[in-house]
Amino acid sequence: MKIVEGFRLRDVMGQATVIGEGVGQVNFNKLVTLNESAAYLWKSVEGKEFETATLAGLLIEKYGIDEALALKDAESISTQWKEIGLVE
Amino acid sequence: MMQKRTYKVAGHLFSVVMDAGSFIWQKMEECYGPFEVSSDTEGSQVFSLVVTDGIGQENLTPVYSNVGDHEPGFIDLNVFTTDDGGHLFEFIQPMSETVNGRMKIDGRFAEAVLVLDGSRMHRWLTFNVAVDFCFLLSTSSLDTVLTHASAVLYEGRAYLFLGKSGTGKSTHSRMWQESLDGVELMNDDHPVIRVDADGKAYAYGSPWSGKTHCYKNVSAPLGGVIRIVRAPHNKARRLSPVEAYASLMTSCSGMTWDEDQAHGRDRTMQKIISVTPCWAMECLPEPDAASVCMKAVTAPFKEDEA
Repeated sequence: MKIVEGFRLRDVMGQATVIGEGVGQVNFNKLVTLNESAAYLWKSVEGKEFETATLAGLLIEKYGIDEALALKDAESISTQWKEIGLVE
Repeated sequence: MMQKRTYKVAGHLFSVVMDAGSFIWQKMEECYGPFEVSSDTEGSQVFSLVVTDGIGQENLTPVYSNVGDHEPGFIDLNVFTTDDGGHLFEFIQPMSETVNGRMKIDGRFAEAVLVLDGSRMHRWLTFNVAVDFCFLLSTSSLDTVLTHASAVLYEGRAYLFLGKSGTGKSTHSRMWQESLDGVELMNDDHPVIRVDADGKAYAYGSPWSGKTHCYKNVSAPLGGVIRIVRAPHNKARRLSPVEAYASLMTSCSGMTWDEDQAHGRDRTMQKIISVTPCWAMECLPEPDAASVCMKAVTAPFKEDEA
């Protein structure tokens, strides 16, 4: 999967926030706030193809959590991002 | 013979150049007249728009189109990039395929050339949108946003009401004017917000006021930005910074697929919300809503003065 073109991660008053600014996203009309770990994942995979396992690997690397938990978290966030339309 | 006139909106100078005999000059009197300044006014201009007969052939790459895909009230538009790094806008008559105007603007959004076609009414409407676009594009990096809002003046401050078409921002604005003392309409469609060098936000009237003839060349410190939300009760709620950003963003259109334009808008909006109370006014379309709203949005200043 990859991040849909046209979304930009911004720092809005100290809060990591994804905004639809590209041609296809001008009518997205929503902001998506990301917590610290989600913002870290976003920055790491921006502009790249990735899998759930990629996200899990990133979580293990940064937070040293065990693999099962990392996979569960990665699954949950990629499902969420897909549902909102941020990744395809 | 070509004629040039210069205007100043929200402190930004721009000029329009076209045939001295064009009917558009007369049409401009009412809405642009209050903003006209002497052509030798000192200061740099944000853009110059020349209305002419032809703009030549270009190699065009389509980048954006909203034809048949937008809220009513917005003009149909095709946007292209040109080989020399500029943009070409095609203004299309809604519900038709008629092109009423083509505007080429350079990469710095400073030099625009416009060709008009169609009836007088369509040429005038297209001209007006073209000037509005030039203003929006040329000031986005200058701490300025052109908003879609109804703005009122009260006790020396400007309050902007935002909302999607049909949610009642103009209705709410009118209720302030009719049921409360000392309220004056500033602009009913496109007031401008500009942040000065000290970080203070000001609202300005503009030549673009929608169906309401209100083209006041006035400015005032921005007192609040209020999103009107239909609800079964009247209640004002202060928005968190991210909510305020979302609210303002929805009412500040821009060519955000262009990175510089997007960064400019983002910077300006963050400056605005960091100094301006932003609200959601959940309300019924009734006069009581206006007094509930006014009490809430003026409270931060009453506290300061107390």
